[in-house]
Amino acid sequence: MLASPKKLRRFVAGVTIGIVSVGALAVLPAGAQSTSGVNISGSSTVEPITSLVAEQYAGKNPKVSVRVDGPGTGDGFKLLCEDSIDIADASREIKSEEAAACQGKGITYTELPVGIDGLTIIANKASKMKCVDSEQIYGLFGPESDGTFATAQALATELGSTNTPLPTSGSIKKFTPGPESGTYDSFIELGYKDEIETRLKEGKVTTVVDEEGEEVAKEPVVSDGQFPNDNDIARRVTATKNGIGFLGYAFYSENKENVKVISVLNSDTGTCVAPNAATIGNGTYVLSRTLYIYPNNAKVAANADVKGFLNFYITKKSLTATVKDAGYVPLPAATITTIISTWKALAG
Amino acid sequence: MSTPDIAISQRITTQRALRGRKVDPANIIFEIALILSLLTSLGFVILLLATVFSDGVGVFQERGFGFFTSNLSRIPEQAGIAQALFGSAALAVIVVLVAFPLGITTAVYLEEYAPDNKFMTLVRLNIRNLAGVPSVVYGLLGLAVFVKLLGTDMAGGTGITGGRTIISGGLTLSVLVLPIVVITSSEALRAVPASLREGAYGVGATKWEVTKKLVLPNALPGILTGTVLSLSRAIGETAPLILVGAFYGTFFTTGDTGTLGKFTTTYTALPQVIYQWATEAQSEFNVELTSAAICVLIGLTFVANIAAILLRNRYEKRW
Repeated sequence: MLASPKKLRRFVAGVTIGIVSVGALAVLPAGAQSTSGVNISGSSTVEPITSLVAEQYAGKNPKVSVRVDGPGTGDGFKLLCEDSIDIADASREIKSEEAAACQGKGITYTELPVGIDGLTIIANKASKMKCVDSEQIYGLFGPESDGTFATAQALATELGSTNTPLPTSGSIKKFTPGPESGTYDSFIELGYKDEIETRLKEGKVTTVVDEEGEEVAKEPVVSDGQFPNDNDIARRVTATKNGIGFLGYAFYSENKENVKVISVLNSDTGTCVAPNAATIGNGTYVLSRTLYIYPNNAKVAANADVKGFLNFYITKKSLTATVKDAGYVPLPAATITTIISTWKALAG
Repeated sequence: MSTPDIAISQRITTQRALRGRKVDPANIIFEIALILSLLTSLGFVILLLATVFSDGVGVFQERGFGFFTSNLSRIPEQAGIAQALFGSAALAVIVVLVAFPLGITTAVYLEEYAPDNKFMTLVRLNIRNLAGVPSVVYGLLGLAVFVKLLGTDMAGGTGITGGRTIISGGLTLSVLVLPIVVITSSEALRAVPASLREGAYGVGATKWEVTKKLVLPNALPGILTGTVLSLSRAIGETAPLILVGAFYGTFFTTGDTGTLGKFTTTYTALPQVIYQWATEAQSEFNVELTSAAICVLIGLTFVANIAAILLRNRYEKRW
């Protein structure tokens, strides 16, 4: 078909005018006031709980703007201490250097526990592994599990493991989160903190000097693949013979039928405990960790939206039913009562 | 496989008859290799479309229009892409407003007005290089210029782009596709035969008259095709938007800001939503909703590409 330049020009002119008018409308309100709203960031583990609460809150308060995202616990504290967000989600307590950053900016915060998560060690379905103690966890994932020892069990035995030895198998493939994740830090803290400290003192671990000038393990978790997304860990373990890994309990629950869960020895009772709502809730499963939110105190006082949101969050209903809906375990009833009174004191 | 095989054998028979029954094995092997590579790439595309569609079709059946009109949600049965569609559409409008006029006028200058010297050669070479720069780099540029520099004023308040807003995102994508718009427009302008220009000059037309009345109208179909295609590239970008602050999480609301206020608050776009949903724990998110959103994104780019082809066929002029 031959071009009819006139028609084409008219067409283009029409489209241009249409687009320009829409665009002008778009640019006009650029200077308009935005409402204060509630801005939350931090742990991707806590994000499902906070999102669910936020959604219920927004349903009842349609005028308030709320945003929740989950780049990671460390990122959340950084944003909180830069005064960029109102509330930080965290899957561990704030570290001293993070607290110092907040103090430097004159930002005060309140730590409010909201639920419990169980770090879950998973293995490929074909694995014969059943139960591990802390020495064996160190042997499987710790800084010396990089091939220095012939088997994970050899390392665990040297550390004095008395648990049933790990089944012999080919070379183990490990899939884990990365160091930016709160899950990674918690796993070291809960899994083999004592072991790693002892071995560091004995000079058995390759170290680097961290920002604080302290000697820390160069590679505290040895991994054959680090994934920010827990689903990827589950998928890799499912697909890899001799694959093992660890992830949040909620992600394990979603992948239950594809992987094998490994019990963890409770050294106080001497029994092997598998993670489930009951054992995570009462702490007999030792790899349990508390999940927190850290509201900025000044924002609670100044921003009615933040206060209203937390009034809705820190309630019996949100801290039990919603936490369960998100796939986590609620705190004990007595703890919830304490947290509610802590919040009431802060809110005034 | 059977149809191309028959076609090959028929052609081979003819060739043999012509060349006195001499067989050229290299020719046959090469032809088979070509067909195999075609089938391989075609196979992957079909496989991708089939898996995405079969995983996502359930969402469209169950939710219907609800999927397009619902906002983001933590509850898979309620989650929808309304906010993402709004964001992607708004970003596209900004790209059309900013990148297209800038890119096309740049191309007109380069092709019609610019002197032919070493400096202009360098400029042209650089524009070609810019088209190959990874999109993350444009994200960093957008973060530095539109979010930080233009997003804050001297007093530390909000600047003209408003910081991490849809305006900053749209401007970043505009810069990203600018080199592509310039290159495709230049090529369209170059395709207009020199004889046409010379004829016009011969009867005393000025450069502006030639450009306005002859070159631009005749190059417009090609320019349109290129720009529409670059728009579909902009719609599919994820990395730069994450850097300039497009929302990447499972839930946000913008409160009572109204439609216009949405340009200055939290926003998201389709690729962001796909990226977020793919990382969720539940398979409702990471398989079904993700696939459904991918179907929508593929659908949108498909429509844009069809539009480009139709525009070209409608107005194309053969010389």
